[in-house]
Amino acid sequence: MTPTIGYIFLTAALAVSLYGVFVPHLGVVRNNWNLIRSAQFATILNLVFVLAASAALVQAFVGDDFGVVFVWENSSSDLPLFYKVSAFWGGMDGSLLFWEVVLAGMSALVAYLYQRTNREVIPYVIVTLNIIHVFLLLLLVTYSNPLATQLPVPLEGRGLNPLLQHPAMVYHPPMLYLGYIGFSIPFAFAMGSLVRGKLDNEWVVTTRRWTLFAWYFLTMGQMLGGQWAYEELGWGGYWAWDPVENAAFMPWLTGTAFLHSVMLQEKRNMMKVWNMVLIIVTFSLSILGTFIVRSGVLNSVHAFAQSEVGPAFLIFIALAMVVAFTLLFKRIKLLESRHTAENLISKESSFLLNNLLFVGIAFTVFLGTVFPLLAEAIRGTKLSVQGPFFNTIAAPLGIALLALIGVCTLIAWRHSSWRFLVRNFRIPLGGALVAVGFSFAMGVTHGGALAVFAAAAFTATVLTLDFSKAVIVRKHQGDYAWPEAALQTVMRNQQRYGGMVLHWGVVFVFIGLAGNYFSREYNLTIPQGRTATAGEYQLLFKGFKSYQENNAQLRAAEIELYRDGELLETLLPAQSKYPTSAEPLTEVAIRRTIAHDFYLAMASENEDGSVTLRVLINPLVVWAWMGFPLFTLGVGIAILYKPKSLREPALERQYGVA
Amino acid sequence: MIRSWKFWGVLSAIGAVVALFAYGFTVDPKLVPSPLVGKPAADFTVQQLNGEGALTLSDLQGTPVLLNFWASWCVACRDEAAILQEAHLLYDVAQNRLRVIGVAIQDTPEKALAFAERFGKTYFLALDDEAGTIGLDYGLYGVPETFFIDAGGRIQYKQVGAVTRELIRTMLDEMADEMASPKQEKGS
Amino acid sequence: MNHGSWALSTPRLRAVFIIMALVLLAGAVFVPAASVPAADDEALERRVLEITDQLRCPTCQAISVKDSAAGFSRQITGKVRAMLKEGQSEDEIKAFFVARYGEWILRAPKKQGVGLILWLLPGLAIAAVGGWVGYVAFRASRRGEDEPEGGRHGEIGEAERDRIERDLRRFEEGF
Ligand code: HEM
Repeated sequence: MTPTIGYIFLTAALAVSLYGVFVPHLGVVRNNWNLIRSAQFATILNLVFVLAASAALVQAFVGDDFGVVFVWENSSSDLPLFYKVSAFWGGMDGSLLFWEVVLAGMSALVAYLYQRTNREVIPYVIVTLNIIHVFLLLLLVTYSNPLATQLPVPLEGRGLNPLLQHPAMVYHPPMLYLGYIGFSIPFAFAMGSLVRGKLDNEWVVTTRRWTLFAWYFLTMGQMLGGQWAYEELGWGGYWAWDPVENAAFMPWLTGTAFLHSVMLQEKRNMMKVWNMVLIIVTFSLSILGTFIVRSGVLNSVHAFAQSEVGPAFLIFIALAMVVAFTLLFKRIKLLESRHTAENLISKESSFLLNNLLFVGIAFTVFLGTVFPLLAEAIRGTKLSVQGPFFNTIAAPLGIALLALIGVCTLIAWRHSSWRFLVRNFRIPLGGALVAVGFSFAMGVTHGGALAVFAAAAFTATVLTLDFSKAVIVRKHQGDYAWPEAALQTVMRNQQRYGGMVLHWGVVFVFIGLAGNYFSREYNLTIPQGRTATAGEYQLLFKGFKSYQENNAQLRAAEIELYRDGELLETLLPAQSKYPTSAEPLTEVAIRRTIAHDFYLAMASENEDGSVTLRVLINPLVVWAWMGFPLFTLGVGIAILYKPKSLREPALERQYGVA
Repeated sequence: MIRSWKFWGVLSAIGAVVALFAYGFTVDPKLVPSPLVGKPAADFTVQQLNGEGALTLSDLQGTPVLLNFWASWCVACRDEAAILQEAHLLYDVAQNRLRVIGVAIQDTPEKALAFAERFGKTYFLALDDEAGTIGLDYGLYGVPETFFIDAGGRIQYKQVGAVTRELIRTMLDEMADEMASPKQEKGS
Repeated sequence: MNHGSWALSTPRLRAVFIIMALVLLAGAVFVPAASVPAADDEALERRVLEITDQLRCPTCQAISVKDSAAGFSRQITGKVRAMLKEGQSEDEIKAFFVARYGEWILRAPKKQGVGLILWLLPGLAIAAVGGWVGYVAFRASRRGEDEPEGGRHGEIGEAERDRIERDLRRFEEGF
């Protein structure tokens, strides 16, 4: 397939999406379900078309067709095949097409899955999704065409940015996209419900799995991004509060708030308006993320080059928000629920606080991200807002969230009493004290770290007790063996215990983050054959080594790492040169243990034959990576749960609407 | 028409954010204005690269100075090398209206000299010390960066990235005008 | 309420507290050992790291001077060390760099002028919204106490009411 045919498919996709925008409405007005079915079919056809266009692009990458501008800009013939395929989303135009493909896949799934259910709202769900398609496809066939060709055909490509030649960079962007785009589905259902005035809890119940799915991938995408930064950028951290990172973090925060507050709607019929607001904001923020990456408005290392699509995205976000909020306010009378928390000390209240904190952090991140722009507009001078600001404000709020998980697990729906709380808090608070004492004993004196450990121990104790109690009850009820009792407990309340595993993941991630408070750093220059000390470690510099790896030329320092005279490991921190890039990259060497990472970066090879090294002892980093399996398992369990109204046969089916 | 004040509040908030980003399109986030413009240029004394004598910046007062920071490892510095040399020959040697000085940073004498020879530079070239004293005093972000210092010793303009012929000409004219105006008297 | 309690009988509770006290004591004993007074230059290096962590790397921009290996960052680090050795304070050192690079070089704005908006707004916003929500919830909970259970919708349960509303709307819209 040639790029030109691929481009024709893109145009065809635009045509079917336009069909999908207008025809469902016609179907509703004419009361003709066949029209709506045809739009559902068009949505599925759209996927076929954009897949065909993508196939053309992949083919161009694999076949080194540098006549395609995008391939020429982002690939070269010496690139390993693996990265040739992932270069698809390594540049702006391709990533936009990738975005469209993912959205098309999800839309097609929606069109396929809800042919018989959700019949009132589905026409406008299809419309909403297709509006997004039209926007993306318009960009793809005009400003941002990844299949554009050039003549004469260059002999060699410019090569993929070497920083992107890392396995995490293959998985990280697609995962983030699955997350960002996943929130379009609950958003589309919310819009469908608003348009139709069908404002019961159906949309919340229907989209719960979509939301969890989106949340999962957004979470994984960010953690993979952190891992990439940690291993590849070589500055020793995994999160820099860079605008692009913040752009991914904001929808995550509001999305997590949404995930929790829809539980209130589902279970207690509360927060109906607020849930609408949250999903509109989450969707807008996920588009804003793409805008920030693509517009070059904010200073970021990750940003693509400045481009024309920036204004288009801005206009799209503005229109989407205005339309969504107008719809919401038109229907607000129908949504306002008379249900509020009946008692201040109740699970409901803890959810309100949860939402306040999540949205508060999101607001802080937003303010900090745009503040340089704001200050420049007001005062005309540039200033910076980076880690020191975000950490100062967000850390206490985050620690409060961590402790709140414990509180929330303990507290009952509707009402609880102080007496009950005080009684049940004793042991978890004891756990917190023990954790503080233990940390002190281990020499950790930083207040922030102690606060995290206290909150983590508190919550971990609550979660442990809560679960053990349930398992004990189950064991006695059914005379099961322990493992079976545990399994039964989990499977009988998948939401609760899926949530528990997820919250365990949160506890681990926080413990890992707390390590930042007491990391140590050494800058060493070691002559060949000599030893230097960094804390409890000794480093013997054996000499330099050169070797080839894939398409990179590496120059490494061979370091033998000792503790108490015992050889632990030989590490090879290096600098690598890629043929397509002038600047060498840092290739760090990391020795991971439960207590800390020994993180070694080669700063320079000096003329006198010595090496300059940057040594970081980063405590507890491995704990944060425990989030990967725990979040996966937790979402795996929680996604099994079906809210009540989904378990009942759909009303539509009972009524037999044709 | 929706009457709720909340609705209009939300709409104004959206408007404000959009306006802010739209404003963002008009400014370059990577360009940071130097606070040194309009201030007296920090003085320094440097040895010439080829060993032929030293120079103290304040001794040059009375004539505008083009102070260029460069390095042998810098790619953009190659592009502007010819322009600087030309400016030196035209405005300095021929017209005696401008002094051109190049200070290399984060470089070695050998590499810097080799670079100078390769591009036929004949103006005053020096090397910043290893601690980067001069570079830090001028708040450098990278190379090349070029400061235009008027006859009174005040920094008039800072160029980030390679200079152009037009820029040098315009700055020269501007600095000449400054000299003509009486308020500059205290500058000597 | 179906929640049990984990309260322990008094003797066991006492045992728990004694263990906790012991752990704390152990901590107190260990701490002095763990924080041996640092050597002079070690303390200096720590100060250097602290200060360079607050300065933005001019070349790489995304990270701090401390985390950067770029030439300018190394030179700035050297200057910070030299100034500390001369006995200059953190504020003086920051002022030195602000004079040359502008306020841009500080990774967080000063808490004055426009910077104050940044530092105060999140806290104020959270407090305001929290106060408002808390007030509304409090009033509602008061009202709830006055009324009998389920009073507002009479005898009909929530699920039932929802279904009725839905059916009514379906009827109205003829779909
Ligand atoms: C960083 C913090 C948090 C994260 C990442 C997080 C994430 C999650 C996720 C993904 C779920 C599964 C949702 C579902 O099954 O639909 C969940 C469930 C839940 N979360 Fe959180 N959560 C956090 C903090 C909190 C806090 C502060 C509260 C307290 C108000 C809370 C209360 C709950 C509850 C009650 C559930 C349902 C499971 C259960 O009944 O235990 N979470 N959480």
